[in-house]
Amino acid sequence: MSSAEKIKNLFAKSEVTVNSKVDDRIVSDALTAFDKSEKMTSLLGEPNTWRMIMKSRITQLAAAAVIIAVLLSITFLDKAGAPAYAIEQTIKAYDGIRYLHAYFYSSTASNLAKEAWVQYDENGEVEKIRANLYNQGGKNKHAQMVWSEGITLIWRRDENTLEIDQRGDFTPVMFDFAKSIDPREAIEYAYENQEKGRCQIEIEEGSNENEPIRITARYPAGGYSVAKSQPPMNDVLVVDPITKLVIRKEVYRVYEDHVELCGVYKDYNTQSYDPNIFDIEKETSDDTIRVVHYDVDDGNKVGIDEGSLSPEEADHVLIREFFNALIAKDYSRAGLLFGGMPPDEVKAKFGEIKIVDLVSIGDRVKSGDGLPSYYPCIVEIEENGRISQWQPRVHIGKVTPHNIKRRWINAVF
Amino acid sequence: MIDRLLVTKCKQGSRDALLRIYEKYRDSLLILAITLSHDVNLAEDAVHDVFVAFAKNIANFKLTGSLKAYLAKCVANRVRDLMRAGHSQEKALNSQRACSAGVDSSEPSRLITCNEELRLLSSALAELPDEQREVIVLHIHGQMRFRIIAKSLGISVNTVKGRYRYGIRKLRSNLNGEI
Repeated sequence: MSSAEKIKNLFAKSEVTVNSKVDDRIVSDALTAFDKSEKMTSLLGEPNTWRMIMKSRITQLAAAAVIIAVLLSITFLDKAGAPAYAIEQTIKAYDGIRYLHAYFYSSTASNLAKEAWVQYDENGEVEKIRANLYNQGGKNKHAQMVWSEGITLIWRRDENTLEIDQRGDFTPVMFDFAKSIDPREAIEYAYENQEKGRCQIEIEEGSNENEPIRITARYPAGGYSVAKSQPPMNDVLVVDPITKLVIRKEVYRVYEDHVELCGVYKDYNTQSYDPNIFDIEKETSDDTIRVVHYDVDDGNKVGIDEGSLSPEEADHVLIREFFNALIAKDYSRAGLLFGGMPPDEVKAKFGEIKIVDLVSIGDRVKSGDGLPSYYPCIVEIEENGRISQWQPRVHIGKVTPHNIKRRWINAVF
Repeated sequence: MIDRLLVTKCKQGSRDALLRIYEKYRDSLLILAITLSHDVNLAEDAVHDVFVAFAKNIANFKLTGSLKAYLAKCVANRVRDLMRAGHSQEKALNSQRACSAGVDSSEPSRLITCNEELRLLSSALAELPDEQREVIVLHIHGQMRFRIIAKSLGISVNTVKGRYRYGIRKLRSNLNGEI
């Protein structure tokens, strides 16, 4: 175990025991400040009505009678059956849930479109995400993506490429995805929208205690998302009557004459699963092509400024500078030209190769395998006193930070 | 309950939601403040001030990321302010206020006890320069990324990484034989 891990362990094992007097002091002061603070209108939007009515003596007597009647009816209802379901029961049921595994089926409810695994920490915050896409359009047709500690790995099995995003560009995408499958988020979304008057929530309990509970959030036309042309939509959460956990989510479009199912999240599972599911590297092979996007402090220092050069001219300058840096063993410079790779990694990767000269740079070739285009190069290297030729493919990437066109060598290996 | 819902309920006037936020993050924030200051009283004051300010300004509060990270950042800032304001680390090291004492006998109303691991860690961290200690605590305990720490402290990521590296090295030597 490394020193950092041992120190992390100490932090993890650190505990405080807090006397209730400390809580009393903090809570009391916080609540006093809270009571004085401005807030939004109450949940029901009817603040103080009760107190105003109760000021009248006649009303107080009338209210007492009503209270007795209500208490009687509650007693009667209690005897008649189980207490009514409330959304809070489902929210509470998710307290302490650490795992979520779900399948998403598209409109026909038979085509598996996505599968997702999410691991949460003890505070319910997302810790790890995996998304498997099946038969999607575009570049990510069958992509499998894993997010952990700010780094996203995108494994495109068809192309045998593994894209590693250390910059965090994919983090919001992965979080949005995790959010979309989380039933708690769906409840929160519906709840917030109802407060804002954007949807109406209806709760339908089964005729017997074993029948699932259905929570329907009804959105008017154009209310479900920003797309104004959208018809009215219904989000239906199907809740297990015993565990109160969501077992299925259905999304419907509502037309005048019919209702159309457009997506189903099902087989929600909250049991722990094989932790290897997040270790996507294990599914790749030695010949998998890795493309790394490094987390660079200042993107303006990576690569070279295209300036007035044509893209092709700039690429030639870039490639020559890169190999010259390697010949000079200037790993910091080489790293900046190589997508921002840290110097120690450049040394580990290229330090063993004794480069003598860059002999030639061939014409640019379009990859066609999802990778950026490349230049076939011929480089002379020395090995055991003998000169031989190495023919690397140098992939070039481009970026435009602050409107300055920069080009760099993609860290592909 | 998820944080955003708790915050929404707080904004709507739910005292219960505020209490749940406090219960959820109290220990973690106290540990953060203790490891940053090596002073249980200062830690209590910092967490107190942050929760009171949070409660007071809840109407204007907008949760854009993790609530835990937000509160951690506020506590770290408050600890820094309190330390600058005279609650010096040296004072804490040689007094009943240090974490190793566990209980401040001079003010019996304030009782926070640290377990053995926290005492060990807090003492070792107290030997580091403030800058290195802050980065280590925020990164490891506060689970904040270097980039976020850099932004919050107004320094470069490389500086943060450097402080972390040197700090860990020194901490390892301070803890030599203990871990």
